[in-house]
Amino acid sequence: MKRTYLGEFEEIVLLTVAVLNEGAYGVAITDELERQTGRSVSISAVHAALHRLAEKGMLSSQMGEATAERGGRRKRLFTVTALGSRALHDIRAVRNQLWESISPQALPAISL
Amino acid sequence: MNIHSTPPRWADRLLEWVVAPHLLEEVQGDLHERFYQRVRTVGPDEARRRFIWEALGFLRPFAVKHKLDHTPTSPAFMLRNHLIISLRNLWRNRQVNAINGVGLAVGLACGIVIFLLVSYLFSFDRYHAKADQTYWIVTDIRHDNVIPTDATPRPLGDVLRRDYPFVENAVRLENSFERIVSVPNGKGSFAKKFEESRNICFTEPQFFQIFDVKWLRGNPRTALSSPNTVVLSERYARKYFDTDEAIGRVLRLDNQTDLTVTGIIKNPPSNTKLRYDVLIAYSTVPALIGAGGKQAMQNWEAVTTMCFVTLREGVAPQRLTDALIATGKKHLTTQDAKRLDFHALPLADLNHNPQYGGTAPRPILYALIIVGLFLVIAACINFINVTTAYALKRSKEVGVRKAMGSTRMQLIGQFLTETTLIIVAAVCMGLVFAHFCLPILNTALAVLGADIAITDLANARSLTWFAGLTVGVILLAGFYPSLVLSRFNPITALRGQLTTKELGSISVRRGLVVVQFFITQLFIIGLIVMMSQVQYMHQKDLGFYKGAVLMVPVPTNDPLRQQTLRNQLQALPGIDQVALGAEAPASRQRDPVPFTFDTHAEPENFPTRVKIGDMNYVPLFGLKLLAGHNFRSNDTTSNEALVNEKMVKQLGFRSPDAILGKQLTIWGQRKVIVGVLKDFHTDELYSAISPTTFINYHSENNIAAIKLNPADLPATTKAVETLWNTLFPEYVYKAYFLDEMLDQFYLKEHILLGLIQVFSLIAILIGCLGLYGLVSFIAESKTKEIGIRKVMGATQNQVLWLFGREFVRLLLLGFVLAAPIGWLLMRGWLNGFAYHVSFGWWIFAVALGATVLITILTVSYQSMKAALMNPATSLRSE
Repeated sequence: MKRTYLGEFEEIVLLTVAVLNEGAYGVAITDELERQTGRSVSISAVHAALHRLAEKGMLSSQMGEATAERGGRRKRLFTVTALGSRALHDIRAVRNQLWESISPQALPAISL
Repeated sequence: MNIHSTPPRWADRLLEWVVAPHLLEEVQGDLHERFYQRVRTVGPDEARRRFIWEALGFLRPFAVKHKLDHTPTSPAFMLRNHLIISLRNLWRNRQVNAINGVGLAVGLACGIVIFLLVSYLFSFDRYHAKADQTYWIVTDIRHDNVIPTDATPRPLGDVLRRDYPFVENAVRLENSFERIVSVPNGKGSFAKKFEESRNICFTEPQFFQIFDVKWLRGNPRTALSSPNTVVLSERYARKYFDTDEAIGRVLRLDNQTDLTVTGIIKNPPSNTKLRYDVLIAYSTVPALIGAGGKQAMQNWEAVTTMCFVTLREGVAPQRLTDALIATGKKHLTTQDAKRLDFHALPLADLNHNPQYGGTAPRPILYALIIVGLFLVIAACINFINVTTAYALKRSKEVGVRKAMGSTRMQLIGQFLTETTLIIVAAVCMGLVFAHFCLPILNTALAVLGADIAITDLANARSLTWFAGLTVGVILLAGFYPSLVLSRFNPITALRGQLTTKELGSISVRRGLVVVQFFITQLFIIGLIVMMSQVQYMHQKDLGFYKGAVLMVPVPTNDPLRQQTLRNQLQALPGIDQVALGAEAPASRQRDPVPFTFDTHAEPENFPTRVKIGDMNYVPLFGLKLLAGHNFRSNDTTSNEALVNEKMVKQLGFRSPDAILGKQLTIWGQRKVIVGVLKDFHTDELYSAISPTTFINYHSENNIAAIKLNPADLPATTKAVETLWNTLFPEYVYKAYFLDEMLDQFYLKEHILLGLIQVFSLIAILIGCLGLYGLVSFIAESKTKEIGIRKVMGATQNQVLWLFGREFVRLLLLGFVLAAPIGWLLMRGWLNGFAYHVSFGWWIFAVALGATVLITILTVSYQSMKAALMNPATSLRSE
């Protein structure tokens, strides 16, 4: 099956949009990403990934409400499309399948 | 809120400047939101630093403005929109656009026709596979002056072929004129007979190896290898035998030699100088010459046969030149080696050397190309003028479009689409016009057998040129108007306050009109000079009678049969006088003959033209005797000779009487000069009068000149034909009038004049359209000015002078440019004639006058309309 390729960062951004559900826009997504992964993310990288995902048809967007702290500018709110959802599910299925195929002794034990 | 709690202005500006508009709002919003969060968490300074850092992070491809397609609309969509709007606009101004398009189409049609003509004339004999390696040997004969010939001595080709290994192949070819070809009917008589000239030749089997000839029947290797064989073209096989399956059939040449058909070839194309329909084996020549035929084939002195040589691949032509010099030294006597100068010319030059019989000299072709370019440029200029003039009417549209956010590129796109549509339509129309003009051109070039068709454009080279022309015209004619239109300032455009300044500088348009005036006047000057020269050649007194003189062939050199012809012709009613001779007093260059004067031991250092005529010749043509007397009798054994004034002068005699009684030796015969003729034109008017000698020599007689009583020409000519056919049943009757023959001399000038007439007319027409465009533009832009002037008391004449002043200036400027260039060009052309009209000032006066008249006619309507307009109306507009 031919599947749109998703990079690791794109996948995480897509998942974060899903996590945030209704309120997914640039700043919220960046904050959530930093909080969940603990790594520092530049907002421009997030925007770039969002637009790439929109181009690929995995995200749709509409303009949201304006707030004073944004100088009266509106937010662009993103939602995961059916295609995006499908891609996330596919990735998860592959990962699960792979995890299940790993024999218990194959991975060196690590302490959590 | 103090200043520190806002993001840095410049970073914001940077964002606004670089980030694509459709992304700007969310990006800026997000950055500002984070900034104000940070002001609270990390303080304003750190927040500002991070803001800058993050803003810089957006300098990446996805976010940055792309110059052209920052709008979400696709180019295809815009194109569709452009097309729809264009069609509506074109339809709204259909009248103007139609005139504009037709003007351009006419100019382009000229360009296409000239392109086809020139590429046809350049295509001659370039299609042979070995054309690049093939050379044509010509011989210059050096006397006092050099006489170029397109032929070589007969043995040369064979020697080159045998002695020089770098010569891949060589062929000899002998043109033949006025041969009688008859088709025997098997009962000792003929089914048909024809006189063939030019398209009949003697050649060797190598002809088919060197030149690309398509064979229908027969074997190219063996077809001409034995004597008395002939190869026919398809159409000639049909002409003679009514079938192209003619192999093995027999033709008779000159009522003496039978030729067996051994091959049929496809008709030769029209772009070859070697257009032969009847190719006879070269080995037939000795038998035709009769006694002495063998020696004639080895004669190195007579320059009689054409010779073509193919070199092996990669051999430098210099080696052929060296070989020619070596061969000359080896085989010619020292005297002949000095006299005969062999040259090798590339085969492709066959058609471009007028001195060797080429019909299309390069300078003429280049001149034609320039004429074509001029016409296309004039048409483009006209198009630009009319289009920009009408821009004024569209200023509102441009204003609205700009106010709605249209960019300059989009406007240019819109206007270019419109002009492209007109131009493409004009190109199609031009092709159609050209298609209908080509038959006329082909008729004019019937001597060449031209068959130029519009489909000749359908090859890679022509298509490239043609596509280049179309794109060039679109850029040339479409780009300037769209630049001007798209430059309008929307506010002034919407207010309707466009001034001429914003309409693109008027000086550009003036410059264009000057160029047009220049082209038009150049054409008019050329036209006047050519017309007066052709007129002059028609009316020039050639020094002999050229009225109703019928020339018929004399196909026998038997003096008795000639005498019978003369007597019986003289007996016919309606015939004033009959003279036998070899050619008319003025005739095309025949090789002059060396002669010895008086008792000198060496031949004179200039040759003389020899004209043959009997005792009736001089009175019939009304040649005047300055001294002595005419031939005393028709007895051709007499040793009398007549010379012309020029001959007397060149021999160094002061008075004609002094030369009487002196002897001269021509063709080994001693003659006594008994009379001196007043100079008459012995040649075409290209060349000066030659020293000429008249002798009465029956075996050279080949025409009978018959002076007819003009009363009943048709009946008399009919009677002459009947009589001739009973006297010479085995030959073909072919008569012409002297004046027709003299006109044939200047066929080239007639064709050229015809072309120039047509092109000048078109140049003038296009020029008028351009002027009309300019004057309507000026009238439109000066409406208010004229209104105010009239209110202030200007008279109509003063208003008219507003226009007059403008055009007089441009016209004079064009004239100042055209006059010297026209003078130079036409001076050069006239210098090709030994006798020509003088280049008077009246020519310039007429050219200027004609241009002024045409200009007045063109601009008067619009300027009168502007001058007569009621100022109340013009001032009220807006």
